[in-house]
Amino acid sequence: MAIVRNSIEQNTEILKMGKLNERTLTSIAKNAQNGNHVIAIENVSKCFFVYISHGEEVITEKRRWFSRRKPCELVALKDVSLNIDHGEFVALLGPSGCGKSTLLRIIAGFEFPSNGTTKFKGEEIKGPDPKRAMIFQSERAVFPWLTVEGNIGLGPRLQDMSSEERKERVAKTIELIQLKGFEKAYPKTLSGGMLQRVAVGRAIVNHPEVLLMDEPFGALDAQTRHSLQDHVVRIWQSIDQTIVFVTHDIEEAAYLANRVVVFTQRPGQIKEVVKIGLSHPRMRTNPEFIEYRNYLADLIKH
Amino acid sequence: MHGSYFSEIEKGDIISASLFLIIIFSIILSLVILKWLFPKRVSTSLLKGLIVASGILTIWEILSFLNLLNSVFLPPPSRIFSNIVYLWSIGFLQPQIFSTLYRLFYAFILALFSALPLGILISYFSRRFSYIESLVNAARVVPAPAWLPLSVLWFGIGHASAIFIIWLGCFFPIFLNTVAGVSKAEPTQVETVLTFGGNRLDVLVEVILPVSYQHILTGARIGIGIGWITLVTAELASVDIGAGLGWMISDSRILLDMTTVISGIVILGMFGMLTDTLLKKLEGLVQGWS
Repeated sequence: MAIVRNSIEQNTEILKMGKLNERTLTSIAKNAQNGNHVIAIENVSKCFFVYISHGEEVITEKRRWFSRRKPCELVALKDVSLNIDHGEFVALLGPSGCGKSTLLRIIAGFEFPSNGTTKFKGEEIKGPDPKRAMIFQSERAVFPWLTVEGNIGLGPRLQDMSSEERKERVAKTIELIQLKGFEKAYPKTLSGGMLQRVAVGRAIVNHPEVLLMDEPFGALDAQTRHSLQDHVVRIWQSIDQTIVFVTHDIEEAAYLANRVVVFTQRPGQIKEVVKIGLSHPRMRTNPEFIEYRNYLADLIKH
Repeated sequence: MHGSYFSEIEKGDIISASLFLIIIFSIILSLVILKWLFPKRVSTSLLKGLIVASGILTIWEILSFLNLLNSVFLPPPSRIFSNIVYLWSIGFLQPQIFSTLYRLFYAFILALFSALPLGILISYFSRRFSYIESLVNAARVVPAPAWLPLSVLWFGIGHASAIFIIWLGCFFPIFLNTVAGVSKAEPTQVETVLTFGGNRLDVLVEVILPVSYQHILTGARIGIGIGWITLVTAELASVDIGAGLGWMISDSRILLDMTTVISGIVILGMFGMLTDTLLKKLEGLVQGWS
C-alpha cells in the first residue's frame, strides 16, 4: 500500500514541478545550440610533483630547484573535456583522490591546468572571480570571528557594494537559507548544518553565475545532509544559476544533479556522463532513482 | 643629593611598625566587612590575594620587630612603605618612574612597529620562514643585556642604548608570536576572501589580522614582560642621565641602601602588574567569538 501511495505522490509532484523543469530544459537546449557554454573545459590535464622530504610527502606544482631526488610525478587529471551550460546542476563523482576536487579548483581559478584550456563564458580563467563562488568543505571556512550577518556580508563588502544594497541582499539571503533570528549569532553557537547553510548563503549573496561546491556536506550526519540537500535544490530552483558539485557520495549525486560526471581512479579521466532524467524533488524510494543509483555504483566499482 | 635622603630615612620613619600593622589589618577588616555586606561587589580572588599578601607582610614586620631579621639586609615593610612615601614627597621618585615608563614604552612601541610588519611580511608573503628560522632562534636566546657593550659603542651612553636593549628584549616575542599567529590562517579562509573578489590586502584585513590578533597580544604581553626584565640592566647604560627605577636600584645598591632597593622593586612590580593587566584586558575585549 505504502509503495503505491508513494508513487502516486511522486507522480503528482512531478506534474507540479513539470513546468519549471521544462523551462530549464529548454534554456539548456538553447544555450547548447548557440555553443555558449558557461564553462568549457578542453583537454585539461594536471600534474603535480611529489617529493619525499623528512619522511613526509610534499606535493608541489613546480619542480624544486635544489632537490637532488627525482620527484614522483602525480597525474591528477588527464585529458578532461567537459562543457557545462547555464542552469545545469552537475555533480562530479568519483573515488577519493581522483582529481575531481582539483578540477573544481581549476574552474574556481585557484589552480591552473598543466595542459589544455578552461573557459568561463568564452574567456580564459585567469584567477578567482566572485562570479564563480566556491563553497568549501571545512567548517572553519565560515569565519568564526564574524557573526552570521558579517559572514554573509563578506562578499558584498569586498566588492564595495553600497551599504543599503548590502543590507538588503544579506537580509534576503538569510531568509533564503532560513536562518532568520540568527543574524547576530557567532559560528561557535551554530550546529554543523547551520554552518554549511551560512557557507552556502555567503556564496549566493554575491549572485554568482556558477556555484562551486567541494563536498560541502561530507562531514555531516545523514539527517542533516538530507535536509541540506533539499535546501540546495530549493535554492537552485529559486535563483536561476549553475551549480557544480563535487561528491564521493553516489546517492547524493543521483539525488541532486541532472548530469553526473563519473571519474575513473587516478589519473582522473571522465568515465561516463550520466544524465539523470528525474525531476525535483526526487524520492529516494522511487524505483527509477534506485536504478540510477545502482548504475552509478556499478560505474564507480569497475 | 643621595647622602641627604639616605640619612633622613634612617633618622625618622614616617610610620612605626605598630601603626603599619594596624593599617594593614584595618584594610583587610574593612574589605571583609564589605564582602559580607555586598558579596557580589568585592571579588573573592582579590580578597584572598590581599589576605595572603598581608599575612606575609605581617610575619615579615614582626620578625623584623623582634630583631630576627637584620634590618640592614632586609628592612621591614613599614620602613619600605615610609621610604616610598618620603621619596615621593621630596619629588625624587616621580622623575624616576616617568623616565622608566618613557623608555619602556618608547622601546615597546618601536618593537611593535618593527616586529608586526616584519612578522606578517615574512610569514605571509614569502612563506619561506624556514630559511631564517634558525637565525632568529639563535638571536632570540642571547640575553638582551649581552648586547650592552655593543649598544654603548653604537649609541653611546644614554637613552638610545637603553632603548635599544629594551627593544631587543621586546622584539622577539612579538615577532615570533606574530609569525605563529599568521600561520594559523587556513588556506580555505584565504581562498574564501579571494573567491569573493578580495585582493591580497583584503586577505590581510579580513583574515590574517583577526586570526593572529590574540597571538599578537600574547606576544605583546610576553614582550613587555621581558622589557621590564631588561630595563634594569639597560638603565646601567644610562648612568649619565641619572634617572630611572633601574638606575635608582643599582645606585642604592652601591650605597647599601636596601630600603630604596626594595622600594624600587616594589614599584617595578606594581607597574609590571599594571601593564600586564591592561594587555590582558585588551585580549579579553574581542573574545566574543572564540
